[in-house]
Amino acid sequence: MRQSYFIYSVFFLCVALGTSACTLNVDVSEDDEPVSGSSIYELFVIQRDMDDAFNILFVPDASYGNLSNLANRQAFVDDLTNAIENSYWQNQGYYFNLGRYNYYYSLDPGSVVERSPDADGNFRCPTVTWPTSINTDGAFADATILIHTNELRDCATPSTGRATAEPTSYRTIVHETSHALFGLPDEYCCDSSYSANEPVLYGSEAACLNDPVTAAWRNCVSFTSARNGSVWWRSEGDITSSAIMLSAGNTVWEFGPADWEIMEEAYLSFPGASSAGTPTVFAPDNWDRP
Amino acid sequence: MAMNFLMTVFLLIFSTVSVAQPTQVETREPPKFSPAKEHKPIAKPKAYQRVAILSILLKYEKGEVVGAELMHSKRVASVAPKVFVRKMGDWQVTIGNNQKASFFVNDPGFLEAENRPGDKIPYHYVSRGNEVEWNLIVPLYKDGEALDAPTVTIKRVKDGKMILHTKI
Repeated sequence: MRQSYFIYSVFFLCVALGTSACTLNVDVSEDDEPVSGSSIYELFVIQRDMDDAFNILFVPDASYGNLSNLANRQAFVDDLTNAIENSYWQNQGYYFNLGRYNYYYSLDPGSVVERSPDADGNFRCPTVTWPTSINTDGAFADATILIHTNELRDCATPSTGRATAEPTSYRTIVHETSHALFGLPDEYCCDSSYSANEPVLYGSEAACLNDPVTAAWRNCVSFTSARNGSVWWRSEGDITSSAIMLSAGNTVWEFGPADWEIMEEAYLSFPGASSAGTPTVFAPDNWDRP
Repeated sequence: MAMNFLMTVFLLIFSTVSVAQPTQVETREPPKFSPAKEHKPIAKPKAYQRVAILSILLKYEKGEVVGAELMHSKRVASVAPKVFVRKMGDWQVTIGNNQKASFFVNDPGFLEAENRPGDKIPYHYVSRGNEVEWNLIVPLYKDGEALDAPTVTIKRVKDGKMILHTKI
């Protein structure tokens, strides 16, 4: 019965990556069963062995209502599939490797509540409450994203792979997931927690200039951290706009070639992996999924 | 419903066939997703697949970490996050005495905050204050084998400063 349910539950259509759009529809059912603990369900799982994939977990906020109600759960799942298509699948580093991603969701809600500025008018991050169940049941997750419907300025915790986002904050979903999964560094200047992260960021000009990995395309350009005055050399100096770890705006930008070096190594680290889906478009060029 | 089912099966079968493209855009076959008869439940964690969930209290002064204390730790059966793919970062976490069983994390004392819509810079960093509770997931296996993991050591990369060395 469980198998026959699933025949109908996931509609994943994909003719060819690159020239056709993959679409994803998931119908929830009262026959669904949790896959971890009592609250975590699979959304779209390609790799049945979780060690063969990056596992991304979505958590609802309370605005979706009680997710034991199927209509509420379907509304949340619809937001998630839309987010997957328009965030991860709008970026070739993810889309061309979509077989390396499993997606899950929690029924237990968290909350993200906006805070007023401090006495000096400085922005304060929202108050975020995570459901305690994900601390253990969601320990497997490489990235955990709390989806909330109230609009506000989100804050992420790169050290734990947890972030919050509106369901349509596509760029932020990809940016923060890229920190969590690959440890990619921020490339915007000048207020981040910078550290050497080669072949993107180097601690010296010599290190940047002498890295054979980047010889074909590098343009080492320095910038100074506003936080502590440290100087960093970025190999992707030619890319000054329109990159996912660099740029603002509503667009889900592409990765630069240095980012891809790190991502490709990660993809190739999976058991039995012999190749990865190399992007055909790199920042600052943009790509729209057909 | 039956028609939907047939259409779904047809499209899913068709979806595994690569189609000649008239353009020069590179095409790739989509991953093979097993939605129908072959669909299997997710594998439960094997005996060696365990993680330690650490709750660490960090103390900061002027944005620099000055102390760390393990509040509690718990070992649970779970697939681990793929932390070993993170080859560089602010802090290095080493499991036991095995230098090959180490990974990197960003400094937990900071959050990455979205800037206002319309700003050219997408984000900035915000301090989490002088006391930070940090939940760290530590894999207790690697490459299909259990790790000897009596301790965890956390060091700051830029200067090697010891942040925490603790039994787990």
